[in-house]
Amino acid sequence: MFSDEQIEMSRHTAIEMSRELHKTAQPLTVLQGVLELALQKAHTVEDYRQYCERAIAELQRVGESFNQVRKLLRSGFKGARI
Amino acid sequence: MMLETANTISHDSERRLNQSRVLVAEDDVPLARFLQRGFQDNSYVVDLVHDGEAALDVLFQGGYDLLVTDLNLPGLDGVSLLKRVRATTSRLPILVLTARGGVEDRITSLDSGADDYVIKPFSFQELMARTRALLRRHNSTSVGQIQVGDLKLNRDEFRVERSGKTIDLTAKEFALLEYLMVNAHRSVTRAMIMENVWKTSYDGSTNLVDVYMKYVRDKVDAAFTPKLIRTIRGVGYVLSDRS
Repeated sequence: MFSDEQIEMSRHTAIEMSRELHKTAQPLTVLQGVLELALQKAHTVEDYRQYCERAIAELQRVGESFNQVRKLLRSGFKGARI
Repeated sequence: MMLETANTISHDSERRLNQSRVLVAEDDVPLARFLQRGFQDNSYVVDLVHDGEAALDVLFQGGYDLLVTDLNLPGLDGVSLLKRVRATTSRLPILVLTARGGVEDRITSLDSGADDYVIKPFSFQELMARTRALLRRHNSTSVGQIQVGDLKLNRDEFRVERSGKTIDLTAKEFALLEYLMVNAHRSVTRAMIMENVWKTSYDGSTNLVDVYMKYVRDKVDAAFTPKLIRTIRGVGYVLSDRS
C-alpha cells in the first residue's frame, strides 16, 4: 500500500513530467521543420551546415528536457533504479 | 510592446502584391524565429509577438491576413486571445498551434474562434498547406461581390441580381446560391452543401438540398438564359456559365 504522502508525491511528479514533456513539443517542431526545409530543395554546403547546426541545437533542447524528466523521476520515486 | 518584424519587409507600404501578412504569436523564441523564417521563405510577410497582450495590440492596428497563435501564451492566454479577437472581427483567419492534442482542447480552440489547428510537433509542410487553405477560403468568402456570368451576388448588401434584375431570396436560398457561386465551375455534392450551408452532416435521408435547389433555380434560372445551375447525375450540382 502507498501512503497519502507517496501518492501526492507521485501525482506531483507526474504533473511536472507532463509539463516537461509538453515543452519538448517546441524543439521537436523546429527539428522536424528544419529537416523538411533542408530536404525541400538543393542547398549550398553552407546552408546545409546551418540546417545541421540548428537541428543539433534543437536536439540539445530535447536532451535537456529528457534529463529533466529523469531527474523528476528520480526525485519522485526515490529508491527506484532510473 | 514586443513586436519583431523582418528588416527587409516590415511595413505595409513595402508589401509586395499578393503577399499575405501573417502575425505569429509564439512565446518559445527558437520556434517563433523558425516559423518567421519558414513563412518568409514561402513569400509571406511575418510579424512576431511573444505574448497575448502584444498580439492583441498589434492585431487591433489591422492589416493582417492570418493569425498563427500558440495556446500557451504568457500574459493573455491563447483561448482568451481568440475570444477577444473574435469579439471584434469574425473574418480574420486564425490557426492555432498547440501541444495539447486532446479532443477537449481541440474543441475549446475551435469554439473559441480558431479556424484550424495543428498539434505540435507538426510538419512545416502541413502548416503551409493549412495556411494556404485558410487564406484560399478567406479570400473566396471575403470579397463583397461575386459574379458568375450575368449573375451577381453582393454579400454586404444581401442582394442578388441577374441581367440587372433584382432577385429576392430567403436567407437560406441566399446562402445556398453563395456557396454554389463560391464554388463556380466545380461540382458540389449534397453532402458538401449540407455541411457548408446547413452546417450539419448529410445522411442521405433528406431531400432538403434538392427542395432548396429548386427554389433557387426557379428564381435564378427559370426566366433566364443560359441556365446556370446544372444537376450532375450521381454527384450533385454545378453552377457555371460555361457550356
